[in-house]
Amino acid sequence: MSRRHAISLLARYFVLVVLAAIFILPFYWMLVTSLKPVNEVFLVPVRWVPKHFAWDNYVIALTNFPFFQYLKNTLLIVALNVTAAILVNPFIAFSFSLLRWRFREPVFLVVLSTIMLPPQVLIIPLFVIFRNLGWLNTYLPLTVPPFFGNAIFIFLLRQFMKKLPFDLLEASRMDGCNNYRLYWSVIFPLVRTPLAAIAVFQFLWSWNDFFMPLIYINDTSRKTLSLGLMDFLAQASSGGFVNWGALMAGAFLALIPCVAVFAFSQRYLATGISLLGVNR
Amino acid sequence: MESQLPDFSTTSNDGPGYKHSAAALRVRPPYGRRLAVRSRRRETIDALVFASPWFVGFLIFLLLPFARSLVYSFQSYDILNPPTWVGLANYVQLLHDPRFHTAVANTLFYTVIAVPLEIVVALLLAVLLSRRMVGRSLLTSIFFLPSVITGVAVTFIWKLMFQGDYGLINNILHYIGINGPAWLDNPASSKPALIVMRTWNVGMTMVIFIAAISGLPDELFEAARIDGAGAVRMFRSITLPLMTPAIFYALIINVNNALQLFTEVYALTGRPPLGAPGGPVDSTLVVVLYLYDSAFTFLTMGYASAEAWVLFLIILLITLVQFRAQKRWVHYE
Repeated sequence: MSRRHAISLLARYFVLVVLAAIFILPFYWMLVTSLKPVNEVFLVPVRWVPKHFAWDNYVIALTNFPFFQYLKNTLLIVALNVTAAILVNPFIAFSFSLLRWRFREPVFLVVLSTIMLPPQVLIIPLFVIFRNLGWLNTYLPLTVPPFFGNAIFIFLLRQFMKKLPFDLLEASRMDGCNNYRLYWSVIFPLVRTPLAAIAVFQFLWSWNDFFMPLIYINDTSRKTLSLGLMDFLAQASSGGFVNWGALMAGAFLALIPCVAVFAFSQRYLATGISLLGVNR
Repeated sequence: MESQLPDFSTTSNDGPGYKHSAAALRVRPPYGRRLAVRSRRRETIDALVFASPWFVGFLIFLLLPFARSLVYSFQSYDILNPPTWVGLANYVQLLHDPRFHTAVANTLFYTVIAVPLEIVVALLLAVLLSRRMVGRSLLTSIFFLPSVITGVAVTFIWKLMFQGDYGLINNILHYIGINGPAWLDNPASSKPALIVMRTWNVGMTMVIFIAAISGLPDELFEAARIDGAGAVRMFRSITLPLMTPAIFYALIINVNNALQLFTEVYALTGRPPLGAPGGPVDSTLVVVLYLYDSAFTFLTMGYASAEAWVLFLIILLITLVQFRAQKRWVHYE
């Protein structure tokens, strides 16, 4: 390897490692602060490793606010959303990718255009509609709409389905298979890879969603983790003093499932993104 | 007898004499063709059945609310009483509302600074990660992780780090001899704090750029290298022009997200339990935050709907301008 090559490689690594360290810093800081007793959180100079491990930050996080209740609520919503995403979107995408019908392309353009519509235009009327339905303060406004499809996921799946081997489909059709059997037995199993990516995306999105639950949920017992964390901060700071250690412990516990899902799904996410990005 | 009628049959005849009979004048196609039409119709029906969830959802959760929100914007509505018509009064009020002006100014300021910054950083990272190297996927994951873990929990970490006197950031700055401001409590520094925090989210854009770079043909780079071009020159003349479609896409997506920012601002500078004020002296009041306040704190739904429509029009305008401008700088193959 030439010397010039070696230097440029070294420089590359150096910059990347420094940047990576900066990017990891917040996570590390969250972990470290969650283990610090109150008197160590704001020390000068910075205390990088706590001298005393304040495990009771975690006890406070788990008991001072109904963590497990919030966890259960969040899990319910997320499970329903992910299920909806996996079931409905390939169903719809099938129509736009492999079936031939007269208005398919113009209608698909409409589907795509809905991606650009800012949701803030819709939330007030939606709120009124849900209020009239009596759905306020329930999980219905959060869990029912995903069962009607998500334009981005439909787009992703359509891209993928269009690339499926044509002769396979023709052969199945020739065998007298109607479109419904074709979908269920042939197509749906074939789209496992993008569906995994979609499941991960939907999981992460629903888990961290704050805006929707904020609007529709009022009862403390029904709140999600993100709402609960916000409440925790409100509770803690009304006395003028914030227990950052406990807050970080709560944040850590709330983020663990996300990081875990992310770590386990690395391959699937990469496929999903490349489907999104490359075909532009 | 030669036929003077046009031949309608395509695949088969229905028997001798068909072409010359009165039946041919009814334009009834032969059996094979009718089967094709019947199955085409069935395919259309099936297609509509498969797409029906989207159609229904589109009507109920999109079209209907969309139309209604326009109507609300011309009304005064506090949800407890039926709405009353006020015509353009909401829009006129918006024109004179200093808080709304602040919100729009803040949102635009944030967008104009944060989005180019994100794109530049994402581009830099993507280029650095474009060669095969040891630890490449680990590094990519590290940069990508923050962009998929958004929300309240993560924003609170930044809130902690930005704390005025002894937060981590000021602590570190102190080492370099800089006295950091009281980031979140100082109206001059609250927006920069927000921008810095959001730059941490470049991972998604970075991954799109990585995919774009990996799609570039190697021969171009080989030829350039043979001609003696250095890395910077290659980037400027080959990589960058060929990446303009991806950059354009990232620009659209990021501008859109920036103009609709809510959760992160609420969590970073909101001061619960007072509701959703936008930071010190409204310095981080963004449009959607103000919208939320107008709708759910003050229950002026008509006014909030007008705000939503103004935001929508701003987004539409900016997107249209971007699409027009792409002819100037985006190179498509």
